[in-house]
Amino acid sequence: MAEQTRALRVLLIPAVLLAVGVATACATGPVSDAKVVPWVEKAVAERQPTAADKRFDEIAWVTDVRTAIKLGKEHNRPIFYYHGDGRINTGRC
Amino acid sequence: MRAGPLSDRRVIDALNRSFVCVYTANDDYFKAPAGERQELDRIYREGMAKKLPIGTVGAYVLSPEGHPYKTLQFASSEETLAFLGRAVQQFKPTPGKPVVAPAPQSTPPRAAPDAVTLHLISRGDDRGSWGEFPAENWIVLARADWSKLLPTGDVSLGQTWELDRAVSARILTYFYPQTENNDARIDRIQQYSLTAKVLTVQDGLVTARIDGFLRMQHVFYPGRTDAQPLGAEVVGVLTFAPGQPPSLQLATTQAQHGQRPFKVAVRTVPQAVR
Repeated sequence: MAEQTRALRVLLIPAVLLAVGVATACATGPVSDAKVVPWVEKAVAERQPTAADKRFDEIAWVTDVRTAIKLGKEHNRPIFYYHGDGRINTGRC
Repeated sequence: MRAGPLSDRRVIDALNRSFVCVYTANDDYFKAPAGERQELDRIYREGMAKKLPIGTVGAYVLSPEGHPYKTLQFASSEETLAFLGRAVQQFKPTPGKPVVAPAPQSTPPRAAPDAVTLHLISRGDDRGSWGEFPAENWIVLARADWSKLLPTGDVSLGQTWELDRAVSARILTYFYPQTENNDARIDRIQQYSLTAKVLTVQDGLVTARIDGFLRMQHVFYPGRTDAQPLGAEVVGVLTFAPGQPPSLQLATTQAQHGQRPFKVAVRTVPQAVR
């Protein structure tokens, strides 16, 4: 009985994996020649950053400390100075 | 902070109303002019002398003259608002309009008029923290580079060719989701290809589909050695007239870094001419 169960598993598991693989390939598989241009245009458009993604841009940034200090003195405003690894403006951080 | 307080309307309004805002990338320290480095060093030294908590990532409030007042690290929106409120009480600025106009902070680099600039967007399918907003790269292809993407001689329907491998690698090396490590060296790539097939030729304008794939190793955190496998399948469209800069669009059909699915889009954008 145990051997039969083991044999069944040996056959069944690859079959299930194959079926999942085929289903995945069908869902996301190659785009036909006829559809590739609109498919790519739509995918590229949908993946652009939204306004919510870009709220960081709504802050009135300058990008060097000397300019910030000059403006701070001119307008008598404190300076909010963010520093970090990577690039916060592109998300590569 | 960008995914939290720096995307919170209340924090944005408070900053624009009463502060001068500046951000710098530590990576740029050695590229900065000497005068700028001196100021960065001075702020750091003065902050240390005041025994302020200072890490590699965080924010200072400086006095209008540029002297450290307080620092802030890994704060929520509420904590940031309270922090800014204390600074306003301390320095009593006159609230008003932003001192400079807010503007897009990720813009195409200046390039030669005949260059092609690509804008790449990459985003994990997850949201929150690292997945909260997409990562961007700008890739500039000089004429000598983009010329290699195009076939030589007459073009015919159904014609196929592999895009120049060096130029393809320069694009595909940025096909990774948002990670703290941004080492985009091409030697991370193990296997890759982008091939084109002409679909239409109309009035001298060629439209070709692109199919490709990428296999590489990418580390999430800088300085680590635990690279995770990354795989991506790509389709795209290349449009060109002989001798003219092409337009290229690419999109992943499936992509995964370790256990994390992600999506990439690349498009050609108008030139920022230098």
